[in-house]
Amino acid sequence: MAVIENLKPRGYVIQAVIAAIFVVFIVRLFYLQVIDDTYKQIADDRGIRKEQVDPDRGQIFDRNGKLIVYNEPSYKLMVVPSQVKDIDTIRFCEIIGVDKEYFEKKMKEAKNFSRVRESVFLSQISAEDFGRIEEYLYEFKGFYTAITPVRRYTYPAAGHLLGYIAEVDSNDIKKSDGYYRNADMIGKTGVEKSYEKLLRGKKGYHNIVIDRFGRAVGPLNNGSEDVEPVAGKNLTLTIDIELQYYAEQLMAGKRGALVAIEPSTGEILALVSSPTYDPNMLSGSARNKNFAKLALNKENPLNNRALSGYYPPGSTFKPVMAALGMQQGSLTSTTGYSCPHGYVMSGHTVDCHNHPYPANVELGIGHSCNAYFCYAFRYFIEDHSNPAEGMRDFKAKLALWGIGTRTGIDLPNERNGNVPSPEDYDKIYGKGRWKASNCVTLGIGQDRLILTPLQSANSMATIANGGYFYSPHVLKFADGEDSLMNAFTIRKETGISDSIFKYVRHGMAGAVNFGTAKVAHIDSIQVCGKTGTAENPHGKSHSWFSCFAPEVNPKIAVAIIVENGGWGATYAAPIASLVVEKYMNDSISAKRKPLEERMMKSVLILDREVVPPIQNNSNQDTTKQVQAALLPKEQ
Amino acid sequence: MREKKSIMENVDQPLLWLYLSLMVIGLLNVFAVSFSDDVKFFDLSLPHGKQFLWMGISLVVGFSILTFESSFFTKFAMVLYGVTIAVLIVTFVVAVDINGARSWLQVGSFQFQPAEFGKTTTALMLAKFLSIINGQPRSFKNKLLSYLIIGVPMGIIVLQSDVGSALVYASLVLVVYREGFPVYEVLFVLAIGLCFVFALIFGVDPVAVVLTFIIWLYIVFNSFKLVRKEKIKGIVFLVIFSAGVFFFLIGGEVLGMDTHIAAAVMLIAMIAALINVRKVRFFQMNIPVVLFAILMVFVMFGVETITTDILEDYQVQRIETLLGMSDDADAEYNVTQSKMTIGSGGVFGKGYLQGTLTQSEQVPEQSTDFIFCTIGEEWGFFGTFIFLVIYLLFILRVIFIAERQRSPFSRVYAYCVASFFFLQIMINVGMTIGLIPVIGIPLPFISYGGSSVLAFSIMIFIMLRLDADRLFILR
Ligand SMILES: [Zn+2]
Repeated sequence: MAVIENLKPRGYVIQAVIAAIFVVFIVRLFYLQVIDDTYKQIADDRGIRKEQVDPDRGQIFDRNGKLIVYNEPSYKLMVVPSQVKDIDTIRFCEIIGVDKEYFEKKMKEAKNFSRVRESVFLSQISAEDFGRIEEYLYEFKGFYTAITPVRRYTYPAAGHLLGYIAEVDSNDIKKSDGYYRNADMIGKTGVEKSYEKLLRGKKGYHNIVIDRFGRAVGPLNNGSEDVEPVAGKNLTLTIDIELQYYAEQLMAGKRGALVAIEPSTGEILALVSSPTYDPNMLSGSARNKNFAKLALNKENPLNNRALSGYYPPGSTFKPVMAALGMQQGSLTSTTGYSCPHGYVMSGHTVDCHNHPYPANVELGIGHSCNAYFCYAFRYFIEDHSNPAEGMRDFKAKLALWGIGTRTGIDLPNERNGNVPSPEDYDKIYGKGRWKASNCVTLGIGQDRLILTPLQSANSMATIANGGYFYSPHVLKFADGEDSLMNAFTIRKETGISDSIFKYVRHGMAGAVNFGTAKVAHIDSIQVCGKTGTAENPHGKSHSWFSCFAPEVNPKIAVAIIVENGGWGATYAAPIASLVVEKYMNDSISAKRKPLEERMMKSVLILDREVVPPIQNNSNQDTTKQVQAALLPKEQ
Repeated sequence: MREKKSIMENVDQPLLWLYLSLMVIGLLNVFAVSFSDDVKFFDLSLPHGKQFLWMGISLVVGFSILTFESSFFTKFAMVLYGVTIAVLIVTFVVAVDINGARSWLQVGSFQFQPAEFGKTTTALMLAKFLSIINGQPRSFKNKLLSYLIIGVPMGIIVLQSDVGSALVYASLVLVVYREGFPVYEVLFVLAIGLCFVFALIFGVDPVAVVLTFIIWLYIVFNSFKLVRKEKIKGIVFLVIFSAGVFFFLIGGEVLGMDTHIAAAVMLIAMIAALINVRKVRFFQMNIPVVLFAILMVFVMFGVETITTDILEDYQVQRIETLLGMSDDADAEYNVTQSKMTIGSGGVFGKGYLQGTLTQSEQVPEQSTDFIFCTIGEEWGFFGTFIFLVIYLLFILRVIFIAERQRSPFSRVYAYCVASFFFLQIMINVGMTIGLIPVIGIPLPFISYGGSSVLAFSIMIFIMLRLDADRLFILR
């Protein structure tokens, strides 16, 4: 009992503390409600509503200052559920062009959001539909119209590279630290995603005075407390939209990818994944329908093969192998290996075609001799203390080329490719129970070697530069954001000197002049190139060509793969050389016009309805044409 | 039948009436939020209809609790507590994310927050434990167990990202204070809280500097006696101690040193100084220095961890908003709208169901966390004053009931109830009038939400049942 007696005063202390807090609250309320009259002016049947004002999304230009992406107004129908009364649902649905389920679903969503605030009922209405709807809208209380911008594209090209914007999902909202709200738009892929923060700008807020039914009366204090939106930054990209569009036309009707890089800067000149789509298809009212169509198409046109397509590089890897061998010293410029129609091993033979004796590394590249590079690889590995060590070194040196690792391009969804590690072979053959001869075909770009088209193009840029590259990138300039470019000005070294690359370049020039890539020869430009054929277990081989031009002071490096294109010289080399010629000379010589026409018209995809070849150059018409061809039922 | 009648006679009538009036106020205000000219009062699909249903359920459950034996609660306190911990863990694992917290459990179509019901069972467990050790010396082990009883559910709830509910559990320090735990312990817990808030307001470093300065002044003033008695030892002590402090104060700025390292060096110097004089018996400086060291470690290393790892981004943002540190329009918006709605009520309010800002949905989550705005707008200062007085009377009545118990179990339980209600209303009303950061917890009996009303009703009726047996000693 004594203890309890002692502690009684503590009970009073607690009561005093509680009472004190209540007194503080009452004093504060007295101040808020009686003394302070900041809010009294709006107390009479009025309120303020904070309305979000969306900034204009940044426009996008190409390297020559041509406008590629801009905004166009689009029309929305809004609803305030509490104001909707005695509506003739059937007539309303007819006029608006929706069905009853849609009507009920949207009304339910709107009520759940708020009974007295606006919700979007129907978005991205075409101008003509909008005109018709506005005419009848007076019949339907509670519905209003609103205008918002949509993305438009001046060329029906570069869909993968530019990406698209769409409404945020719950994940986007969660990750944005409170920036995004329902129905905001966000870049989902491509440049729109990479540079979302620059492009989106900063939202503004307007304080709107409203009456007791939530209807807007006018701005608060003449808008003096409003926060105006800040428009998004305009971006200038490194791509040449004409070249991009030209390359897409050449690739039309074929499955594959093409990447063109300016070697001296790492700037992407064109980045094509085929089959592609007109970016206008994924903007505006048609997006949902078109997206489903594209997503379900078995040719998978939404996949960006240039960054994520996995292909064995085949013979296009030989120039890289030559450089690695000479760097190691296991190969010299004057090494020759005899080729008895292939590289003969105890078990089987790696076949080669018929060609003169490759007396040195230049001839090895020029004639694309398989045996030569099997030897080059074998001696590279055997130059190390054991095969595992050699393989580790092989992998590490390729990583410096951006092979087997990401190149660091400023676009989402780039993949690593693959360079095998010693452990991969330990798994097959047992630890330490394998040697170079178990994997010599790595030297000719087979076995477990996988490159993305971007990595292949980047390796060409590296050879063109003589041993270094800048991370490939698509952003050339954004006002006031110079620091963004820092990552792209770091010279990434392979550790191989230019004196070695001299032979490689010369060998590649030989391949075009007298070897396997003669079709890529352009009279006015010395192209250095290498064809390749990636074996495809599922069908006809994939056709590769990697090149750069001119030999001295190169301006462009290109890698291209045409799936099921057969020999590299069949489709890949002609298309790449046309892209080079177009970029260097701005036009195609008369002599090569038939080649151009043949490439544009050739079709390797059976499902022609989906991705037709693009025929002419005029922008808007083509856009419509493509859309018409793509969407026969809608138009 | 006879027994039941006698229980009803012993139930505390004033508290019962206060409880019922709060329920009525709550229902009227939830109705006011969903009101518009086409809304009927009896519409079970709308919030007020559901609330009405839940209040009915709560009363049925509540009055059936009165038929229980009081001993049921003492006997099963531990079991109920164990079940609570288990359910809290399960919730953390299986719960879906609602508003950034994983604290809701779904049973069929009914969603509830186990943390709400856990308040009652934690209170029962604490009551049980403190009544067992009542009159015994407060050993370190007993005190630690008491803090653990509070801390374990609190910790799990923090993991669920439901910081609001966890704070309510923290209010139980009031109870252990009342039960005779040393004042400095309770003050220390409060000091941690204050340091946390100040560190958020002013940043970590200024708080550390001020703390350091305070301990230094304390030590210097207390050293005079020591210096007089043992000159050399005293001076060495002062020099080492002051050097540590000096090093910390200039380390960051002048030497460009990481303040964490500077703080560590200072603490080591202080401990070295204390070891030097440990044999001088009357010199009582150990405890303040140790407390200081703990506070410093918390401030220097804990606050950042809490703000970055434990508090959700939106909560940090809301705290910062309140302190005028954030320019995020959205978080500020809630507080501004809330103050505006209350302020627009004026002296006598706009009249019931005439709340224009309420009805145009100016305040987010107005039927739940921001229900106080409706009272403020429609009833004015007159209404909020009366309302707060009713609530204060309610809490004081609970404390009055607590103090008249003969059994420590009932007393502790009733104090827990008072603490919970106090903290809920403090946080909830405090945030709507802009005195406390926006932390989403309901105003008991007033906010819309079935599981909250039911849980608080159960809590109250258990207390009423225990109070009906106030003349007995429960174990
Ligand atoms: Zn050969």
